[in-house]
Amino acid sequence: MSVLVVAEQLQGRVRDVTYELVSAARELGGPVAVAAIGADPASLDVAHEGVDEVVHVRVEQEEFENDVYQAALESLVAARSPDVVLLGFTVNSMGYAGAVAAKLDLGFASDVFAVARDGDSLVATRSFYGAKVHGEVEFPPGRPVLLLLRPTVWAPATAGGSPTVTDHAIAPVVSRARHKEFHEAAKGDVDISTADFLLSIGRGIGERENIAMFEELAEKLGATLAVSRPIVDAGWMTNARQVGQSGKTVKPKVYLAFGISGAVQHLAGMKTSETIIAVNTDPEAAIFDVAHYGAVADLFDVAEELAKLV
Amino acid sequence: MDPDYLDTALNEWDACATEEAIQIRERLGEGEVVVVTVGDEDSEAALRRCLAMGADRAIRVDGTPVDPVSTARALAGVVAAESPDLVLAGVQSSDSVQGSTGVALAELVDLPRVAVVTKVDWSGSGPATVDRELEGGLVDVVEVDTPALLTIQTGINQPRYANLRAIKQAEQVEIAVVPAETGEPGYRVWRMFTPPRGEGAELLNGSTAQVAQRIVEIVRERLA
Amino acid sequence: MARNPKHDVLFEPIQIGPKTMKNRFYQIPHCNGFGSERPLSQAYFRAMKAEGGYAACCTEYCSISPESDDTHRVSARIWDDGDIRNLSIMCDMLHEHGALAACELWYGGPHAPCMESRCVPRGPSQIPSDFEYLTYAREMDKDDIREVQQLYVDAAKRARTAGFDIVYVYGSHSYLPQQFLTPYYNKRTDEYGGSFENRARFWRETIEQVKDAVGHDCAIAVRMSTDMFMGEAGTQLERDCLPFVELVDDMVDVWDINVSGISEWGEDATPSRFYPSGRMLPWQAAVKAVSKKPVLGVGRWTNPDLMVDAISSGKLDIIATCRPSISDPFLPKKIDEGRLDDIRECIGCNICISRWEIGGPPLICTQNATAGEEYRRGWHPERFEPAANADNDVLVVGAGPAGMECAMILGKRGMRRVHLVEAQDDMGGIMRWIPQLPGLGEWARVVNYRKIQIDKLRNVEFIADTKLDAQGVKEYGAEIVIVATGAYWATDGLNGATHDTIPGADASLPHVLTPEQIMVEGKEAPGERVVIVDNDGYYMGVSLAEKLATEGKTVTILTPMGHIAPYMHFTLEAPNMHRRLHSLGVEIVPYQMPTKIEAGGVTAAHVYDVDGHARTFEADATVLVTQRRSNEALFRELKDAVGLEALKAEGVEALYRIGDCEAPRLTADAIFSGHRLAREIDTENPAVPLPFKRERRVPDDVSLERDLEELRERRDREAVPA
Repeated sequence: MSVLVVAEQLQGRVRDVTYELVSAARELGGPVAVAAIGADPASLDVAHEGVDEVVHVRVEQEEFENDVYQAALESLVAARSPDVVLLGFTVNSMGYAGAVAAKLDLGFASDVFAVARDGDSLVATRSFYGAKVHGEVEFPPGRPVLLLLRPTVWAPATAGGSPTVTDHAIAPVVSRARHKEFHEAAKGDVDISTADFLLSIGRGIGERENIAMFEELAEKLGATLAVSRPIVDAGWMTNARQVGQSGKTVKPKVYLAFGISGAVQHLAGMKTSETIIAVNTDPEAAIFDVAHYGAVADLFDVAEELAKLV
Repeated sequence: MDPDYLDTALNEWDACATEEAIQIRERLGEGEVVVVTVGDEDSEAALRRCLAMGADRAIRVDGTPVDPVSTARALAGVVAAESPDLVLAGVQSSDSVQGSTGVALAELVDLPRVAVVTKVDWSGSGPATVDRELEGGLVDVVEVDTPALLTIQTGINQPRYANLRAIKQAEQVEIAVVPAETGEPGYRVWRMFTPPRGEGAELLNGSTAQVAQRIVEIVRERLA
Repeated sequence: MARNPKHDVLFEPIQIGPKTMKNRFYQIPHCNGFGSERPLSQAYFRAMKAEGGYAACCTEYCSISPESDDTHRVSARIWDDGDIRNLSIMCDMLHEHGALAACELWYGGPHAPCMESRCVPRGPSQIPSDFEYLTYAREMDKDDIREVQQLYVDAAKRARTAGFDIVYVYGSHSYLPQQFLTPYYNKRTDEYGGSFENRARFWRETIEQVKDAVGHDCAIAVRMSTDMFMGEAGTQLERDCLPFVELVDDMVDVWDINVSGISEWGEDATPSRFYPSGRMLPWQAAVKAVSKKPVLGVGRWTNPDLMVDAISSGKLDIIATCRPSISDPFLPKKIDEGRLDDIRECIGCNICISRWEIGGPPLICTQNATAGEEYRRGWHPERFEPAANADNDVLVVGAGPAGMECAMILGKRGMRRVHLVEAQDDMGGIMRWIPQLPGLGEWARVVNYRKIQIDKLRNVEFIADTKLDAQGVKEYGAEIVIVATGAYWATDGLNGATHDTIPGADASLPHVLTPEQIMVEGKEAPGERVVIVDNDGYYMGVSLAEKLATEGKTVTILTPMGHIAPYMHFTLEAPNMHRRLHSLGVEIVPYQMPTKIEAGGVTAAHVYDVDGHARTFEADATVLVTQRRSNEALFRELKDAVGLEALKAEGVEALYRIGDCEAPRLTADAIFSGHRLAREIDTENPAVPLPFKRERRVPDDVSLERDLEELRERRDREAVPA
């Protein structure tokens, strides 16, 4: 099953999701080609383990513009007829993937977190109804399938492949939506609902006096401190930092939970976090049901070790 | 899927898109906000909420496509016929999280588009300047020709509430209904299942020092 | 939803003597103000918990004889056939739900004032009560001991006749059997005093006799305090209690283990201000370690994970709850059905207990407005009749405790649309900041529970950040408008003592502060020294004192009352609150009414000083905790300025107000007010509560019957012509 991965880059750096796409592509068999689109495609580090071919698409624009990527991908699909095209389910991909699918009448699904081959056809798994159910979807036969894969699901392919390199030329693209500049998003007050990295503590920390240690740890790690309801109930923190049904719903990239057992009210507020790491002494704690990584360990010991490392 | 267990409501992205449209109309001091959705009669509740917020007119495309490309096809006829100066869509729906319908629609009606917009600056004619917030907090400022389609991210505004009178008045408004042309879907769902409990918690074993080391690695990897 | 398998252990049956509890949930003895003389209120109240899944429910303390009469407080009584009949209603209703009925046989000794019976109680020694004024017992001789033990036996037989499955020989809270065990009460030199064997003799013999009398088909429960926190004088775990458990374990079917004596029983019924859930586990576990019988114990359990932990770790066999069962009688059922987010968790405020301590009134609950209303108003905590006027839209202005409760119940009653509109950015009203006071964090559960429920109700919409004026309300489009705008602390020193403002009290000045200014607006008290003027009498003044003293201020509390925060005696918070303020160096000056407030201090007069001598307290800041006033501007404007006619022209059919906006009272009252209006929104005049059923005595002597019509006619006939 031939797979074309479109590399995602920002300011000349290839984003991790690209390597995850390579791993997913490998699972489908391959051969795996990675399209590097940019003003200087050769500078993009995409030759990772499992990549058979790197396709350089030279364009005028330094940064992502959706008309450019659309034109490049349409041209690549026309020229190479891959069985599958993989993109990350990212802000950039959302700018053009749907358009390419509509224009070329491709099989198409987004936010896919599992793919499998079923003979010659492809089955993708995604969530429906607010992630209450999962659904397996299949695609119209005889045409390429374009999938946007959920980031962080696949382990990134490691560096060190030795693919062949080809060039694919496209005509200059007149962009109707033009990149002007980048700037950092404004950082407001503590808002746990927009933080990328939450260090969240619960009843397991035991004593009010222990909060300080986690505050320090959060600062060292560059995380925002969040709490579960018992901490607010105990009056140790205000509810501005409370995660859960009666607090705030959060969806950070990383949710690192210390001593949180995972009451339903809490899980409702954080279970869609991209990566959940839970440290708890109780192996039965419900938080392990939603966590991606779990450690059954003394949370103070782990916290101390963490503080040493950063 | 028993429909009795489903509640339909205007999702937060579409509420923000509607609010942004109303704010643009208010800023410009003129214009008309038309809301359109594709769905069965139940979906009119969402349109009526938009009307109660202050939209001027509502159209329902009668059909129940599931995938984003078919949904976009169903909407394309109305958008082409209305030929608006600006088309706003929510980034995604809260139930399906496709994130692609708006952009597919833009393609079908041949409009420039920007996805995941967090700020709109437009004088009513000529190019608009919009922000896209990328993963990691970097903002991409984009100049887009108009007419254009923008998919609107939550947080761009605080959608206004509709008071009971407006809700009651919106109930009386007649909603135009047009048939859907959807074509072939981009996918078919062949099986649905409830997510297995406790899937995927990979246990971090070893000494606490090793556990901590792994946590740091995972965090660095995920935040990179 | 289904029960989480990890909670399965809570639903395993357990044998206690000749009886079987169907699960591990037990409602511990607790007062409700109904006793034996409001038998239907009593029965409906306990049965609600059985319906909610409790496997056994107990009476409150149940007096075995007129010698043990706790009037003015209300206990149950099982003195005679009439009491048997009345309490049998409770037993029958519990049995209908598959629950066991328990009776806590009580003899108070010197603690029983006997104000109704005028009997003389008997006790181990003649020392007056440490809990009551002017209450003495007669020192028991051997005949007295035999007679009192017979009172237990006779009462146990009556309890069995009434239908009780579990009969207590109740000792803890410093009542008679424990008095014998405790040197503090027992000064005897005969074989009932002195050595452990002697001190244990009365209780051992009584258990033996009760067991002989009813033990063949009633389980025998013993409730014991395992630490009275009195040093050598009180009962001690190692010295007295564990040996006692070993001594009588064979005769006892279930142990009910707690701590404290009666004079500081807040160490047992712990306010959340001072203790978290499960604080007595070490003592309960110690008994469990030496007993072969099931051990039950309270711990203000609301979290099933902690309950499971207590059982799995071998510390308890049965989860006993008192306050959490008042706050949510359906606690077991909700755990069983996996509906954990529907649990209405106890906040540990002890407002329920305050009613018993006051003596007389039925219990109330901050969280559960239906507590105590099961019979007299016919309210069910989980079932709601669709409103007859459900086709109306309702606007509730203000999402504090009353507004949240009202909107939630209206939603559950199926009103077409309920809009709960709040000026601030979230729900909660005063309960957003009160839980920020020291120790009151759990009070935030008032908001948590309602927020989660409201979120589930599709017909209730919460609208934040929207301050409606009268015009906005008028044109909102609701048929029913409910104003719930709360109250504020007086900024001018207006108070219930002088019924006047205090000269110089002006919270717009930097040195004069109100509770909201400190807690919500972040206004800082200037300087080092703060005087708090407390005319309120509950938690606000002392909580602010604790907060400010902890932050390093030198704090003085002036109050015209004889005590600061007298209501906290009723909630059992007073002793530890006093300890805390004392250790923080807070100075308390009673009987002082401020007459003038200035930048440099407060001038006050002793309330009983006829010459009006003033005293000056130097201070850099003064905090006014004098009284609250309703935020009624919006209501007044709607009713008076806009007028009901003009509102009607806009489609507003009815205008009500609830909660602190009507009168600033307890949070329990505010929530009740919102609940009551929602329950009665479809009555003829919802503004006026429907009458409730009163279990008053109607004379059964035929000659005393009265025909009202005849009475009216007679008065008319006899009337002096106008």
